[in-house]
Amino acid sequence: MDAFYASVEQRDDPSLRGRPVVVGGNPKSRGVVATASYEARQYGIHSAMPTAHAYRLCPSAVFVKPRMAAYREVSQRVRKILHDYTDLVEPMGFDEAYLDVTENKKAIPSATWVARDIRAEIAAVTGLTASAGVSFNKFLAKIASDLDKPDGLSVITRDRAPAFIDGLEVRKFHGIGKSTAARLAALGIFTGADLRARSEIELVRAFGKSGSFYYRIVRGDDPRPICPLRVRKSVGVERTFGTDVVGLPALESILATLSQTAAERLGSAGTSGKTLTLKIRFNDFRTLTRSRTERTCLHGPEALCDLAIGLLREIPEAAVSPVRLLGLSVSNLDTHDEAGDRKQPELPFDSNI
Amino acid sequence: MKVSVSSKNLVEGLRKILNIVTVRTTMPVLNNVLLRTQNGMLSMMTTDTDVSIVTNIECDIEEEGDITLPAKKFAQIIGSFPSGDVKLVTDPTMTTEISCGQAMFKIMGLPAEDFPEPAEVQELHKIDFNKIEFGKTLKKIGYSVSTDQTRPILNGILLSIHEGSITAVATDGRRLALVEKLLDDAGNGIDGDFVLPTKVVNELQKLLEQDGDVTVRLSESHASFIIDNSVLTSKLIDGEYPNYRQVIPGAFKNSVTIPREHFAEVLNRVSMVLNDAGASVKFKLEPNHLTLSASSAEIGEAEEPLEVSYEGDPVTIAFNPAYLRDPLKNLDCDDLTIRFNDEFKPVVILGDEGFLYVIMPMRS
Repeated sequence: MDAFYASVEQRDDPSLRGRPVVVGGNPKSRGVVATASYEARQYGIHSAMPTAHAYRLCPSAVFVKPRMAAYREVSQRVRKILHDYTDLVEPMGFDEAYLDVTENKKAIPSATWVARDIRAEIAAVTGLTASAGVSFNKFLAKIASDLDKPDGLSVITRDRAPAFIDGLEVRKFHGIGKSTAARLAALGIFTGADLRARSEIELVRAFGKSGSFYYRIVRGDDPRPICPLRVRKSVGVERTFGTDVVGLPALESILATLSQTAAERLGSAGTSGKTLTLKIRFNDFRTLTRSRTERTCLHGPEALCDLAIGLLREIPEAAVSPVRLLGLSVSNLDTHDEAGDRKQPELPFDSNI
Repeated sequence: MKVSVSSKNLVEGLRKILNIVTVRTTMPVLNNVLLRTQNGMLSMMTTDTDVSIVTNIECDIEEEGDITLPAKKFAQIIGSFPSGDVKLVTDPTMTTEISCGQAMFKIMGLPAEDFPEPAEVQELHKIDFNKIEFGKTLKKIGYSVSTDQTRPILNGILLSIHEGSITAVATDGRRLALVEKLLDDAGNGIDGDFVLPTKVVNELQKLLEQDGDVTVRLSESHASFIIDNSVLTSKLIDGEYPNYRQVIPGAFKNSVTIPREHFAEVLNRVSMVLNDAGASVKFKLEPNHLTLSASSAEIGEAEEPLEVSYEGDPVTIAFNPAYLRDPLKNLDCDDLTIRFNDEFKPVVILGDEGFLYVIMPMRS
């Protein structure tokens, strides 16, 4: 979906159409931009940027608080449309999904035609535009979907793929973020062509297991299948503070609240996990994480909080430096449902206890 | 406040109340223990606002008063003293001098006024139990309490008092343990259900080790337990406990009696070849014989027969050994009786008087 949250706002409030719209926290507070409309992007505003910064870039932009319920509803409608074509849908958040349409329910022979039909149907049902990328693997389909935004459709065929990848900057590759891009640059690797010139062993030495993955994707070989039921890997919660928080007692009481929320989210996801990760961001934006894995699953807010406080105390600086953000996430989740038959069966209570 | 108290009594008292103290709290005073002179005794109290515990110890009072001190640090200091008298002297700046022998500490405290008083229990019912009996009851079922925070009502033990009997129940939805007992004096006409949070159950067990009586006071929302010089008060868990009777089968086709300790030994031995929590041990029953067996692809297999009294048809039932181990460990009886209908329906284990355990067989 193109500029999803912002587009929903512009659809629902005609006075916002054609204007720079920023969905996110209040610009006077310390929230971040969730989505910027294309008009706002012209001012250099992008998602994850502090809203205060966005405000400096474009004071005339309209700042709107997110209405998650509205977005969720649209997202569900779109998902329904996608499932009319195939059940191999791998959602990536609210506004993005991978589809494997090799065999589709409507027996449409070309993936490009499927993409065209889906885009038309989304526009008709939701009044919003979506962009699609078509290719023979996830990596290239994602790249393709970014080529002609908004309201576009691009195709990367097998024939075009090598030339296309060669010209691509490495930072656009899946799994290559800012810091990996910098490390690649230090090795003289800037484009797909540069990356392809390196041997697998050289990349593995520099990047470990990921090196192997880079070696393959740069050859158009992305082995990742579409996973319709992508298993949740972590459950987390984080909070950016209105004003910086200083001192362990204050941070610890915030951890107590975060633990409560994290435990509730684990509960509603029906899972628990063995690893807890604490994330702390100081007011100069330096971000540290500390994590610990227990032998058994962590149950309840108390267990999470005790561990979180322990992790916090491992960061001596936390006691003195102003903190901008704290986060907790639980991973190494219990995957008990994968072997449903081997689980201890429930007693036959008739009501939902 | 100016008091003198034996270090042994202090340590003993702190041991009973220290577990209630939470480290994670938005109220710093909850990290503290409240000390105050009351009726010629030194009263020490901790609380997490849901559960509170007061214990009174003998002391010499030179000057009445009160203070709160960081509980864990206070306990650490007292614990480090040799046996002898400890002097506690509090000054108006909230500093408390703690001295014993040559050692002298000055510890910063917080005012007693900031300390939340425990809930006043509007007594509806009062009932006395023998401490050891009551402690054993809690121990025999406590392991079945659910730790799943999404079903809070199951995070505690149900005390159901009706028609002169009390039933203590714990279940996590996969197994259920209960102990049922007749009450003296027909329970004084008490009729009601009360769900005690796990935290209280755990703390109670520590206080119930010696002989004597515990007086339980119950209200709609709270319970308090008066045990010698201590009072433990707790909120009850709000909500309706599920109808546990419905999972206990009314009739059984088969019954097998097994010596408990030997059975526990064999079960532990056989399950050594299992390496994941979802694995099961098979129970192959034939007249007068039970053979336990287990296997896993990664480790191998194990098998061991037991002499039992069984007269039914040959049948094989599978159980998760983890769910059998707890009752085996916490009972006192010589023989256990397992009653069942077939390999799919709920199975009941009986042992000590009034004890009953229900568990589902595993699908094998």
